[in-house]
Amino acid sequence: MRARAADAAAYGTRWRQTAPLLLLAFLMMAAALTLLRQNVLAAVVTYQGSTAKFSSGRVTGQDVGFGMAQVNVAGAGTKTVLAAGFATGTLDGLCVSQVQTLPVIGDVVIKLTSGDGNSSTREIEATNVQLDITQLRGSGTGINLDGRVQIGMASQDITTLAGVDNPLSAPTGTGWWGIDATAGDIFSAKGYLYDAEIGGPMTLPGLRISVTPKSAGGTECWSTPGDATPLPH
Amino acid sequence: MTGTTRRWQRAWVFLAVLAVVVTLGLWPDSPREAAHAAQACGAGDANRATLTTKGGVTLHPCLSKVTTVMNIPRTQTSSLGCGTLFLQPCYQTKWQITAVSKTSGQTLKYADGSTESGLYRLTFQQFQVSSSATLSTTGGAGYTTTLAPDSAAKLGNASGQTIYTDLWVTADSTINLSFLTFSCNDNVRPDNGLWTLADLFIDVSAGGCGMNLKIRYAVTTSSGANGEISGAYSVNLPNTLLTVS
Repeated sequence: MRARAADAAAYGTRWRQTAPLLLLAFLMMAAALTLLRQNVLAAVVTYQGSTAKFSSGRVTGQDVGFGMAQVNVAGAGTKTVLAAGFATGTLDGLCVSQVQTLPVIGDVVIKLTSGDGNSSTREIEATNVQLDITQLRGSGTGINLDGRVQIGMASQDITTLAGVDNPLSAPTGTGWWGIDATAGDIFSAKGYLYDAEIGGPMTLPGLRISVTPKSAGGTECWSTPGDATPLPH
Repeated sequence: MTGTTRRWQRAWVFLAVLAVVVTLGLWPDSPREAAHAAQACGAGDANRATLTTKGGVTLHPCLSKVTTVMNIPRTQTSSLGCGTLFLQPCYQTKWQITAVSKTSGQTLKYADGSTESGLYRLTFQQFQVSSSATLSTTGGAGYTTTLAPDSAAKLGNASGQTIYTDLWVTADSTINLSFLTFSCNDNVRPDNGLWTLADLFIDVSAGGCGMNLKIRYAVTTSSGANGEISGAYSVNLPNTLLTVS
């Protein structure tokens, strides 16, 4: 019996020490789940070490801003990008792809697509969006900016979210160039991006995620920004 | 304490630890969150510029001190070259505006508190470029951003609506005026008498075969003073490639 008591003391749970951890854990879990359900937590897509390709039939945004900024890219260090943000926006289709090289299999195309196939609708909705871009091509009508457009502003002063200072998280001071616009449209958009952040709710109808080896016919969103690869709609 | 009880206790502890780990994993990285804190343009926003457009709108932007160079190269129209007696008529019209005006003696304040004087405010009405224009930055923190339309571009040239574009430029900005200049060195600066002459003819259309504007700040508004959205597009850059290098 004495031996059993000793065992209990040696292996039993110290509830006084454990309780705070338990409480903290469940509180954090509850908070995270609540925020996720309410679409408060940001969806962050980060591409490890290299850019991904993206395309869309049309991107339309309110409170649009473009500002030079820096991002830390895993395995690649600090990169200078053009951070493009908007408060609310709609897209006519979306494609994001990246090629990863895997042992034995070789190059594999990871591709996310969304859309309803109709070029006259902008079925994807998102709020508080930021794309860190290194190259962008708007074909056809191209890039349109509306309302008041200011060129040469400090990135830190670009406004995309009401009541939020420096929403693009740009370095402060001089040397960081930006464009601020009341609204904007990018038609037939193709580009490269390091990461995308969607801070608010996002609707992605017809979402498909595929992982296809190139040898099995896996293709990216496009080959060159000016090519004739059909845009997602 | 029985073995069953101990197993439950271990399970609870395991769940707690798992919950912490999973929650921390769920919580997204917030590389930008810290920067969301209030960041004024200098202490107390003291480094904001105060600018007034030709239309009388006062703005207080925080300026980057990065120059946006709008370049429309003036091509040689004669194969004879640039000898002293050789003419290079500027007969092409690569850009046009329906009215222009300039105001000298402009001073800008930048985000770091420094100021620059001796600038000009140019105001273009219905500014459009038909070919070969690029917008690129100089003086950025180790980068160059370039906007290159394949051909045409418009700044404040919406159909059915008069739009003004105000540009604050350096004195060494130049234009080449169609049918008014004839040599390889016919760059017209804002402080040049020819530009002053053009300024006198406000509401008279002007065009040119070249342009090199060093823009410290530009603003164009497609509607009223408050910049409401009109759908008319203040800036239209068709078939345009934007690159960061």
